[in-house]
Amino acid sequence: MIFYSVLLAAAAFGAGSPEVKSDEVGSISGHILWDGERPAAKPDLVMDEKAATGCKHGADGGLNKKDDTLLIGDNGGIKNVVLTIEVAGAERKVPAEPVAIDQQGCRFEPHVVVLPVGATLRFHNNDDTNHNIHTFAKKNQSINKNVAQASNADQLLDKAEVIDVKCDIHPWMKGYVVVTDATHWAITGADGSFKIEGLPPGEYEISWWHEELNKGKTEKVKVEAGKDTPLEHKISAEKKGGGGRRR
Amino acid sequence: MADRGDTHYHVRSLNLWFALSSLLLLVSALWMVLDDWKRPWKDYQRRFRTIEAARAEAQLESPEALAVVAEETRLAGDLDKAREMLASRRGELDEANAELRDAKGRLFVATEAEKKAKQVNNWQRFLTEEHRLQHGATDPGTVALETELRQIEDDLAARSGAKQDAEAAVRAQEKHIAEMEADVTRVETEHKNAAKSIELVRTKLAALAPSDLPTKVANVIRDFPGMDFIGPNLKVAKVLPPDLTFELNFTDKPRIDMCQTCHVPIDREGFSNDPQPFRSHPRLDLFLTAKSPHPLSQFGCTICHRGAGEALEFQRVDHRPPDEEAAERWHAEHGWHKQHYWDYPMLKARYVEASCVQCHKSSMELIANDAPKMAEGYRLFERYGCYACHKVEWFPTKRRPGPSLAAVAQKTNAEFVQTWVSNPRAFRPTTWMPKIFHLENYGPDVTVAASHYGTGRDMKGDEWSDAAVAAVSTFVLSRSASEPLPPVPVDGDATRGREVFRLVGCLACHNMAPFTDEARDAETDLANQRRVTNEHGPNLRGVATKVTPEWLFAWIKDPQAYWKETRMPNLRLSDQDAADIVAYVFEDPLFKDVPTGWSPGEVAYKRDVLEEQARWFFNRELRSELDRRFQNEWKDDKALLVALGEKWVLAQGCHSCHEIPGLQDAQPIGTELTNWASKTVDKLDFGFMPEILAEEHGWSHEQALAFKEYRENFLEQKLREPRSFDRRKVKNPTERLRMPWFNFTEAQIEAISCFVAGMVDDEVQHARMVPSPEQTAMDHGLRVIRQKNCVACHVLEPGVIDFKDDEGAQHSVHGQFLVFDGDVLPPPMKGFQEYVAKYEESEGDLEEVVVQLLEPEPGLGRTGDTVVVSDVDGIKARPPWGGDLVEPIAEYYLYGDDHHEDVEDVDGQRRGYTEEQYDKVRWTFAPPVLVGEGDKIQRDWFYRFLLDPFPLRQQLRVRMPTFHWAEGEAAAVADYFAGRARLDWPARYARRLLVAKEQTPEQVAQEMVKLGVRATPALVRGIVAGRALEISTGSEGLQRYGREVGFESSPAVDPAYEAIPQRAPSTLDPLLALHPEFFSTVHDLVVKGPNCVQCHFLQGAPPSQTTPIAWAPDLAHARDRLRPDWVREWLTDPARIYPGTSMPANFPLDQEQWQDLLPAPSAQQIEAVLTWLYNLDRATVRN
Repeated sequence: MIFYSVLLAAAAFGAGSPEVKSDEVGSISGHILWDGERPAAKPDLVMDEKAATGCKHGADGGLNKKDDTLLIGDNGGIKNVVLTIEVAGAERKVPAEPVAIDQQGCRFEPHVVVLPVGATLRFHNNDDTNHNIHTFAKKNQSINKNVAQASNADQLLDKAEVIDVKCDIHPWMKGYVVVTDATHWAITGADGSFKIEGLPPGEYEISWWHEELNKGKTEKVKVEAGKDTPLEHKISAEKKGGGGRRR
Repeated sequence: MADRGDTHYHVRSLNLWFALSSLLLLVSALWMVLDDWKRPWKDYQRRFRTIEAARAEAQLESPEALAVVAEETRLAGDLDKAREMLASRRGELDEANAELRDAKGRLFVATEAEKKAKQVNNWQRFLTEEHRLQHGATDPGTVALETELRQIEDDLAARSGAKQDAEAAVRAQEKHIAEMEADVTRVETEHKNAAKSIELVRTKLAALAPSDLPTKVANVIRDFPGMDFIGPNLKVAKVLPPDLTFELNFTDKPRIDMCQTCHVPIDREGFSNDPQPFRSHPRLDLFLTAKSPHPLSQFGCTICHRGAGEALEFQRVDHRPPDEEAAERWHAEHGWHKQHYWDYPMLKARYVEASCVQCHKSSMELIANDAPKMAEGYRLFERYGCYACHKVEWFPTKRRPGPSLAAVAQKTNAEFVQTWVSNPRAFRPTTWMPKIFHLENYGPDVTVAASHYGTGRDMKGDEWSDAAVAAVSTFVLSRSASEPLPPVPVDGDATRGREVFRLVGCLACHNMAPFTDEARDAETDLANQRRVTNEHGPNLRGVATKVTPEWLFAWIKDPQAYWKETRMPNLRLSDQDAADIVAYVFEDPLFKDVPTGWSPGEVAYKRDVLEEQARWFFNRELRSELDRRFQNEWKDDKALLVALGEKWVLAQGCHSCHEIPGLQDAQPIGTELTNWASKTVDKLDFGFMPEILAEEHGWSHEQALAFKEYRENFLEQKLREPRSFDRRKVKNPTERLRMPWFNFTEAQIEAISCFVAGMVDDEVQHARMVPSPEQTAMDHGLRVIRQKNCVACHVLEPGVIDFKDDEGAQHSVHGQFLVFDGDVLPPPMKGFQEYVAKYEESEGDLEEVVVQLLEPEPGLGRTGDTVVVSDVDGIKARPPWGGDLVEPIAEYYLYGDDHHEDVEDVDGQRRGYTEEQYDKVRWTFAPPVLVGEGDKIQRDWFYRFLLDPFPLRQQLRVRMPTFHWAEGEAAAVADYFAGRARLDWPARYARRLLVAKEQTPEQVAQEMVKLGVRATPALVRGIVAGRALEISTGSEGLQRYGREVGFESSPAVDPAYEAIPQRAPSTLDPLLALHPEFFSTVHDLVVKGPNCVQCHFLQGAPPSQTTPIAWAPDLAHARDRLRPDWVREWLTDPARIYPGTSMPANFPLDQEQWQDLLPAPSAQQIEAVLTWLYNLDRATVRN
């Protein structure tokens, strides 16, 4: 359990940075914030009682029904925004250990996972019931596997894309796996904070992605060796567009 | 000599005349020979030789050929060098050869010596043996002889040894010489083989355009008049197809087709761009080549194209110009005109598909893709009911095309009937019923009954037609059942009815499209759009003005009760559902929408017209008798109308299309069409139409005459304006033409003409065209599928996507598109490029499109794998065959309608579905996809299901109706799917094999050859593509290879029986003996492990999921319904069969799970679950 927490923490606070000398590199840290009026909180997820038998209840005895598609902290920070920087010439560090996405309480924890191309993703079932992992990948292999309690399913991901993850047995479950071919990445925490380390000096534009909002790029940020450059970026509420088949 | 003066004639002038006439004769003879020798076809052949020579030259100048020539030259240089080198060693070589001669001489001497020694040996043996026999072995004489014998034997051995040595010496010497010459020999061989690839071309060029004088002269002599019987270059090409005869004045003669004399390369590839007559035939894979189903030597040309096969001149062949403009051009260039007195002119290129009819009567569905115009004509012929009046002996459909009128009085009222019969299309423009009355030979200005008939006034066509309409309608209503129908039992809710109407499946066959084209184009509601499949049943706009609610209720509850032969199936609606639909229909304004200006009302008729009509129809009776009847039983108009109506109905043939009580056995009124196209054209009554058309179009007299020479002209005109042949004719009322007017479009006229023009009397021998029982079954199945409109709901063939991959290779795969970035719904396959354009307008350039494979594709991947395509502009998508209802239903679930956005599910709860769930909604709530169903479903179960459907998928609101099947139809459909699975199996096997072993066709062919099987890459590719020829010759070999490399595949569907080994006692008894707890163990595995019952029903018990979107079929059906091989594949990896399915891979082969419940590898767990599943009815299960 502790192992997984550490792994989760590592994943949440930007685990992707190549091996370089610490005095030759700089870092960018800051917050991704919501621009404008905060939207109303989303209603709870509808969890079918009968289907939710076996989901682990929280410490208070109830199920966590929070909808985490758009989580904005008290300071306006947006959670689960994935930030990536492609640094020319830098080497992408692929973690040797599989990056985990857990199913607990009939939710995917963490809700969004970032890993580099070539890394292995591990699905773990921490509940007392079956879960099936149903990924909707376009370029990688989609899988739909039944994962027994306390067991894992691994998958090597070698193409860059955003993969939706669902469970057919519990239709409210939703997760995202962002497979990136960038060299540096981070994901924001609950207060929208992030830190990208190991950047050679230069000017960079950070690409960001969020499941509900459009993807985009921040303004250019200058990185100096040995220093940490702050960045506060605001994203406004642009919902994902649709193609022409809408009515 | 000088004139002697004693003759009456003048010798000198006689000589002169003699000389002149001799000269004249000589010239005439030469002229005759020349004229006979100079033929236009020889010019064509000469031209073709030039073309071929030019082509050969071009080939020789192509880069490949030049490379070969360069190689050849290089090798020639090498050869010269090698020969030089050899020459420089000439001395050595001569010595060696001399040595060889000596060695051979020595060998000869040694051989002779050995022979001699052998003879001596034999003689000595004989002496010794004889002596021994006579005198005993111990006799001194014998001993002496034996000693001698031994000496001689030693001598012989020595000489044999000497001979062998000499032989060895000779061989060694030969080898030595060969080594010296080895280089030269090798280079010689290489040089000879170097030019092999272009040798053929060179030979051809040498023959066609020789460069040396002797050959040139020889060529001229070969074709010289008088010499060209020996071995000419220019000769007539004849094809005598066996058993295909030609009827000529009541006798059958063999066909001799000489078309290839001018059309020289007709059966050769590579001439598709040349001017006629040097163009290759289109579709050489289907026609003329030896590998095609219609090889030239077996079929000839005229059996399909007609025309005069034995003529050798352009004019005499009766070539047919494709249009007027071509006709004029031919007239100008060739002096062409229609060949008179040839009864079977060549078919227009547009109509050549007509010839398919004579052989393919029992495989019309199978050839529909290769003969689309004729197939369309065949379908129209069936749809519009032409066969009902015009008998076609072999036509498979025999039912009456129009609704039964046995109870029409319960359905509608007299006003509607009369307005309808007057002009059906005024109410419903898309109806198939033609206009029968008020046509041009009964127009308002046309006098039908002149005053001099004794009527006292001229009776015009419009009043005549009105009277007819009134009579017909009164008669039909009088014969109809008219008891009032029971009222609708429950109150209907129109809002709910609107939803039921859209969900239960009405829109699969019916549409409610607006009446005008502009309104139709603007229509966005899918219910109101016209597709081909939703015109299977009538357009329902305005139907509330026609029928009564009670009738509609009874009809949708049980259509067959009203009309036994209707194509509308029974939707097994509950009373409430039916009442809701009826309420919806009678409250929604759409169903009261009628075309502008239309309103029902009874027609006004005139009594005197009725009486005049009676005089014509009852013309066997005396006028006085009729007058009496007019005063008595026909005094009441109604009685007269009924009596007249029956006569009108019989005259106009209404009974052919509609069942009318009392007239079920009456004869149809149309001409029999079975051999129509064999009728000589002089037997067709063109009337005055040629002159009339000439006046209209400004034709010349010749053109007007020419019009009459082609029977297709008659046919087209008849379809266009059936009664036009009555123009300018004076006819009494009962003689006039009766064919109704269908208002066909020009395209429809062409299609139907194409079909009818094929109905000839030439019976091609059945040995030529014998469809296998399987093909006949498939054809029958396809016909039933078409007639029942299965494709309106179900996808039967997946879509095809053509694209170019990153290396530039072209691919054509069965596949579907995945969602674009930023979109939520996947792009449509129909109109794909238009959608891409729209997308790019709002979202920017589309850089890549992801294609998901729906079948294993060698070189690309397995089912479910994706291919990223960057060349978006080059993508062409062909939509799937079928499944037209899927989009409307999915859209209804997502968006609802004007009243509400949510949908009532089967459990009565209302739920809303979002676009994110589109995929699941589409696969769960829309009619299922039936691609490859023959591999999945047991055929017998399918047959029973078709006869009696039940809710297999409990979450569906769209319903599979109960069809009524004529004899053999349900079996034909079940057999079609099983037959397809069998036919497709070799290609699927090949694909799976290549994909599993990741090999190209070239590699597989090589491996097969190593195994001793004859194979080429083209053969393997042909098997993968599903071509019949390659499959029949190569499939066995490929399977042998598959077995060699350990490729396992489920076998093909068995044609006769389904073996279920899981249920066999030989499987179960030992299993249960070993593991008595087997069933409960596996039941525990199923429930505690993957827990199938979370989604699947089990023997009626509902699953844990309460939302219908997650429901899966009852597992209890599996043992009767599914094939075990398929279930095994399904359990192993469902996403490889239906990509994107919600069913997970519960027992992944690469990961063992549930070992505490059933410790075994995944494959064995799957087998255990299979056995459990197939014995659910026997196992005592614990819940």
